Amino acid sequence: MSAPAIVVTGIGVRSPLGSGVDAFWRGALDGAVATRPLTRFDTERLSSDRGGEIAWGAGAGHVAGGGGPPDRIPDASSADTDAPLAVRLAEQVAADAVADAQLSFDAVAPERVGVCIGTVMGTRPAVERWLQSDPAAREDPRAAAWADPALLSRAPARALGLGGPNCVVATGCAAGNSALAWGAEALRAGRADAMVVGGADEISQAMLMMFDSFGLLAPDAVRPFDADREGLLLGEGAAAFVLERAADARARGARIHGRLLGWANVADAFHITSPHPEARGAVRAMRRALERADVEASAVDHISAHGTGTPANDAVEARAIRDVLGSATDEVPVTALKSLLGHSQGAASALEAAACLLAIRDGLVPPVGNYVTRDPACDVDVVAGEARAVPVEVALSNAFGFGGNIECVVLGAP
Amino acid sequence: MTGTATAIAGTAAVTAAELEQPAVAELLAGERLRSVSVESRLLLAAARMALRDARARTDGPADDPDALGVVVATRHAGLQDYAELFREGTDAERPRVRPAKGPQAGLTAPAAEISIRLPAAGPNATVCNGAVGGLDALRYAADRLAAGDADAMLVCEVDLAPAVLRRNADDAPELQRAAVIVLQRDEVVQARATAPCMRVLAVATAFSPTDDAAAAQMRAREQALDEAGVSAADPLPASERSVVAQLAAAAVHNAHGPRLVTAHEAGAAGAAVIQPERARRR
Amino acid sequence: MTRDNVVTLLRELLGDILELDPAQLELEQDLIDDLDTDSLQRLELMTEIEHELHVRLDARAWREARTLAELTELTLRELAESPSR
Repeated sequence: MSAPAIVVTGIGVRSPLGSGVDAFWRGALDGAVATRPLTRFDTERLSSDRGGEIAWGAGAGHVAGGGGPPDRIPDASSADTDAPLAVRLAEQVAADAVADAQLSFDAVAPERVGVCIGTVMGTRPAVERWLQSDPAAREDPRAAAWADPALLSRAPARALGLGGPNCVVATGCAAGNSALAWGAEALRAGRADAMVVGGADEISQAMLMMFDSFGLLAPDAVRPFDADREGLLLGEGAAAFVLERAADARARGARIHGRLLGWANVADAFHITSPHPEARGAVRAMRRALERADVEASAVDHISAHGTGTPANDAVEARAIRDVLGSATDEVPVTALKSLLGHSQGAASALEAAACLLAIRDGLVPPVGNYVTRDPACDVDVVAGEARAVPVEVALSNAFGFGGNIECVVLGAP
Repeated sequence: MTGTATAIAGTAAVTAAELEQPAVAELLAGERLRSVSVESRLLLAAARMALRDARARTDGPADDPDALGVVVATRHAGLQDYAELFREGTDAERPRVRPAKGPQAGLTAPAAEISIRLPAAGPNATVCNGAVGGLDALRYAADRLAAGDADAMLVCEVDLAPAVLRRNADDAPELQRAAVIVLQRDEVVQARATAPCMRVLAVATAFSPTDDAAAAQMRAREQALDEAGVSAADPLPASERSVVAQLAAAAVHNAHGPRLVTAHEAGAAGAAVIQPERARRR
Repeated sequence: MTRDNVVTLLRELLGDILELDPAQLELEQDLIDDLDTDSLQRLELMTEIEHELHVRLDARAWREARTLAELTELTLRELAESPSR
């Protein structure tokens, strides 16, 4: 393969486990469950009152901003602290990643640095609040201006002065992985010299209601792969990375967190909400990602599962893992971060990719939270109880989006 | 030149009003579409029409669903259903949530519905970059074809101004076309074409963080021309709001080329160089 | 609400969801094998009946039911325990 190697030189994180990579990773290794009663909405009519919420108010570890979701529509500038949370999260993690990468415009022209952010909801949760609180908002051109998902990549680019390729990618819950792939492709094609990529989403009340209508909200906690799992909880957050071609990163003396070895996107093409029972799409995506990474299934040291905690997903995913890894399955520790964070939608696979890179760095795999009883139908090596010490050279991260939108990525040691 | 040249094997464009016409409605016959969003229905009809067009013009693409991918450019897909779901679910007296409405309330619903119903099990993505998104989608499709991830990619664009934000008649969905083009590798199309097929020589996008629209447009244009190996190209007059619809129209009318298809809004801009003749000019 | 009322309502709603003539839906047809419904459609049917009749149905029991006859029984049972307004 002569295609240029792609490396990660910067990471930025905002999550219910904490702000910044260190707080996030500490919480993940501790198996700290960050899902708790939601404060932002009235959950009385829902079968669950829990979620992975980022505290709205200012303060250490929290996203700066007003005292709670605003009813007023802010002006079009995202510098307004009442700007939709998803936009502010995207800006913050992008800035953190660029700072972490020590990316200066002496080394890389700003026109050659692009941004691609993955999302499920975009700014819709904010727009829904405005429309509900004031019917006249419908006529307000600012509401229309904010109702554009592209803002999640444009706002960070404006804030950081970046003029490279810019767009938002939506592939359901696989969006974070898709943004990583998008950035890698742009670098390989020479359309940019660095790409800031990641995912961001804020909790949507409508999505809570939707999952509740499916009977898929967990009453208390998310239990991926557990025999008594009952469903998912929603979360929010953002993670971003700086990607560069390996040769460029080395030339400017950048610290390399890891390599983005491979990626693959396929459609399950089965059903708008249910996964294919034989994991047809998942198996193809995992295989194709490993093939593109030029990595044998037997060389995978760790899998970060999509692991939503729903009865269907986890059984199908475990089956897919076994289909792809065969007998090696028994030796590959599997984690599921949604047990701690809830399902942060577009941010989920971005946060999970960050955890994979940290697992590679530290040789530690975070435990799956709330895991008590093994389910024989989920026949994989679940990391339970505490973080497991194991050298990780290659990690595979799965993301299975709604409607069968699947993207898997393979991450490797520097 | 980076990337592989591609060609448009088939095209289609449909408005919401046209969904009622028998020729279009029959493309959706036998489908259960009760809860499916208007955007999804439009693109499904257009996708089938475009594939039929491709079969007529190139006797391909082959019928392997694993090798057929979908990429959709949109800004507002699902927003109307989302707003309705929210309104119904928070109703003070009789709240209700229709389970089938939820999945339609997302940006990715049209791409998902197309993949399920055609079926198309290749790469599947939805991209949001306003008026320029169609060009990002086009480039994504070209990349997937070059990487061998698909033999054909449906490049789609749909944007119906949602009633929840609609302010004037110009935004009426009846006036807006949903468009699909079937993109394949150039050499594949040329080998099988029984009718002239438009080539796509290059696609480029640019962004100005200071909203310098002119600068972004110039950069996109220059990059596209450079990648196409062409010194100049006349712009196609922008007859449609959707850039994919413009490409579809250009392919149908087989405009003499090379021609430039452009799109821009605020600081975002994009350009594609298309060429109908067999011999590529240098 | 009589048994016949419930049957008629279920047929109408399911006919609407499946875009089929309600008269063609028989009580003993298997919802999955004969009528080709998926889980989302059966869920839609449940929420529509709940909305029409002002009742809450047992989602698990509904998921396990295989025929319109079984769904009728479930609905009647719930109506008996909490009569509609």
